[in-house]
Amino acid sequence: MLRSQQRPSFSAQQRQAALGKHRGLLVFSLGGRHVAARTEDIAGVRAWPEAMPVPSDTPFVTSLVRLDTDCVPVYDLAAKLNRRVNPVGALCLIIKHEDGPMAVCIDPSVPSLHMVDSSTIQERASDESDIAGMCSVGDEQLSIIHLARLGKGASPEASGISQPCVRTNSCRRS
Amino acid sequence: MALRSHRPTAAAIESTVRFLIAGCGPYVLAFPAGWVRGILTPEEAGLGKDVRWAGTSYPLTDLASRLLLSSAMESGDRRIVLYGNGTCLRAFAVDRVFELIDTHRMNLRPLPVQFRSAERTRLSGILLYENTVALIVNPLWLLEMNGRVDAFESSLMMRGTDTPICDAVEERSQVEMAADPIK
Repeated sequence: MLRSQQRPSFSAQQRQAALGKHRGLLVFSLGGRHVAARTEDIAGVRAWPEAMPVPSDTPFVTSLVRLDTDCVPVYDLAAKLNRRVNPVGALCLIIKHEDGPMAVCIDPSVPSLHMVDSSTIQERASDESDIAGMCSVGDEQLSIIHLARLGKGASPEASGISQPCVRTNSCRRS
Repeated sequence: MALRSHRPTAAAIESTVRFLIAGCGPYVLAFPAGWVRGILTPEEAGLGKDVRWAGTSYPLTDLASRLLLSSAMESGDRRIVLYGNGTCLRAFAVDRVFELIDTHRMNLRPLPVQFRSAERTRLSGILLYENTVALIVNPLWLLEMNGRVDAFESSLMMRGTDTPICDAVEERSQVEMAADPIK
């Protein structure tokens, strides 16, 4: 009896170890470009609500969206990648940013969850970068966006993915 | 007996705040209404650099350009808002005046910390307005008054219906004294 009770706990340890080797990544699309993000940085996905512009000087943070009784700032990740997301049918990725929740407008295609072998992820050490690393998903080599630290890099150049700031919100509805 | 725990000053803080809601370009703006002195049509305001109304001169300020808009839209709904406190007066154009509202303080929010540049000076916070969001304009920035309004004073400012900073600070000190009568 006792021997049979020990066996499942051993296999659970093995399963835990196996899970430890893998990392959950969410792959989503921004203006046709696929990127990945750690699942632990993501709070949810929902339909894109209308964004309200803000007269802001903060790069890529130029609007707000109303989420029920709350209101969160929008990070224009598409503009940072020099892409444009069509707001019609777009999705709202709610991220767990270090400074509080933020919204990112993404393409209408539903994000896909992938368990990736940690050993295949090339991590980046720099704290200033918006890119946490690179990974292979299928036959694609994808950037892993560090969503929790978006916009916290010292300079646009340091982010590794950025181009000079554009003030237009790629997801703003006219 | 019960008087010892009674704090009339704290209880007197009103639960609603009055704002003038107006549109300027793509922005929905909420102006603390305590300092609104009048709303005129462009014809009533005239074409000068100052707007003279009821014997008082209000220097015109270009709100659109100060909000980073290239040019103000021309429309029949355009209005000139006269704004000021005892010492400082300004007039500015908005594309449209929506309404004057009394809103519960629960609908007020600070500007999220992810906004970390000059917009923190322009805006005191945000207001959940109908199914959207209105940006609460910092009245001291609007009146081009020198001196920085820190976040604490901004949040206090939103507590008073008539909005003056000094009243809010006075209110704070009264609340503190009520909480600690030894002071």
